[in-house]
Amino acid sequence: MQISLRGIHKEFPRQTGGRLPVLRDVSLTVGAEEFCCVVGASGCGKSTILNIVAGLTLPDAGQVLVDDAHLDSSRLRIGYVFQKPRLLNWRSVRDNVAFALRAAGASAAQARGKALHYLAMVGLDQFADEFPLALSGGMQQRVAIARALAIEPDLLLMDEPFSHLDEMTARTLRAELLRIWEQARKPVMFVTHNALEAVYLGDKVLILSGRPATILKSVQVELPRHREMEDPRLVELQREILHTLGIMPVNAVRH
Amino acid sequence: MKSSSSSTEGAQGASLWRRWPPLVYLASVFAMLVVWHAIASFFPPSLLPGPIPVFQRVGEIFVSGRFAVHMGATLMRVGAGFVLAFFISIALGIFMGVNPVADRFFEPEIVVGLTVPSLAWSVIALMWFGISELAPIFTIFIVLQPLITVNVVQGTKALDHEVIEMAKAFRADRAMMIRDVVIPQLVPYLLAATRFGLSLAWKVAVIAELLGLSNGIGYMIHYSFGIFSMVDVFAWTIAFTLVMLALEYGVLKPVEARVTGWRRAVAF
Repeated sequence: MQISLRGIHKEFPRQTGGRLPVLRDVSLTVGAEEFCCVVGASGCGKSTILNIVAGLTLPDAGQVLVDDAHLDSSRLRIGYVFQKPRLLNWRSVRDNVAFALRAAGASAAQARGKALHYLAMVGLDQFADEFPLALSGGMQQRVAIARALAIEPDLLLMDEPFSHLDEMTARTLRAELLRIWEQARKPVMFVTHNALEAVYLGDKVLILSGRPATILKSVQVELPRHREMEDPRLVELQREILHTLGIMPVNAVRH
Repeated sequence: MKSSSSSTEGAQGASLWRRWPPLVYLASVFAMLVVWHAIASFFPPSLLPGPIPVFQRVGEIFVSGRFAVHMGATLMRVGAGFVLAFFISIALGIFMGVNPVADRFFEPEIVVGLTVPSLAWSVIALMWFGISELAPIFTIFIVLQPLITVNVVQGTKALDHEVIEMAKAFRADRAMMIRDVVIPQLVPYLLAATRFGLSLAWKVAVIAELLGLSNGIGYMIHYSFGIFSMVDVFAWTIAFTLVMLALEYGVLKPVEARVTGWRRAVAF
């Protein structure tokens, strides 16, 4: 299944009156088995793109197409991983994953069984009965990833999911994400402001301009999988992306 | 624990107080009774009866069945007024919390409601409805409604919109949204409203009964005043307070511990 955005425009009303243009003529395509990263400065409208794909925000103009047919957003099964875990802190870890499954139409019994399976996949099955607040930030984000994967989504949306974590945890989770993704091979839209993370994860990296955001460039990452973050070819690609974003010094942006 | 038990005598004594918290409460109650008994010994029983005659009378009114009759009457009024106020306030509070126009529209009503003394409402209700069950129930409702509404409005405004957005992204339907996302976030506010509302409802009920009804705890306190029996005034007040405490510690606290247990989870 392939997802395309065609000529998306979006403005938001300002508190002080007037309107703030956020997206200007954004067009992109995520292939059926493609891991697509979107890089841009903070606050440039990256999250808005994901929210439009998820049907949480309506575009002012433009279309979201699924396999070139008009999107029926209620039909599309979307796994969304946010910047923060956004868990139901009053439900157990297992019930958090089961929540998404039940919302996707599973019976309560089915949902609980499947939840445990996906928690095991992210290494948290022993914590199934804990409340989320008993877990570290990295573990909570793993629960959020398990929740998004458990519904076996048509499309996985990830909004800077590792940006709130320390680099050690982030590295582990990136590798884990790739391992799981390689088994399922669903289209992924992964938004980040970390250029190195984008080239490490993505088949393709789209570079967004500052507000109002438009796509400056699409970079294909031809390197084979099981990449190393320190691979000089990745670092070179990162330099190219930062250059496109207008950031000259090599080690100016690392996070 | 280990280190304190292996240290001095004094530290061991202190750890007993810590190890068994009810001990502190018992000591507190016992101290109150001792002070009461001591002070009462300086006064005639008609002015300040001691704890021993008062608790004897408490026992008598429990055994005679009179307490159950009057407590039942008060309980019914409090229950009816509270339940009415609770559900109307939840609906109104959520409406005000999500709708800024409604929030402004009902705000003066809330402020006026919070300002008018409950005694004034009792008098007004008695003049409107006469000596009937309607008067105290109406009074309790009208006094509690703005208070509970304010709590629900606050809870609604504090709802975590990021979590609601998450639930929408995963296509949760309205029932799941309310049951799994919204209500659990309102529970702490509803509990606070329940505790505060009930404690106020008792006071309002007693005042209404004292002013013009012919049964209930308030009436019996008034009646005891009429025959100038201080022992009875104390006994009815204390018996009533005991029931309140039983409700607080036997029902409200355990419920609260159950439904807000997730907050106490500690990261490891």
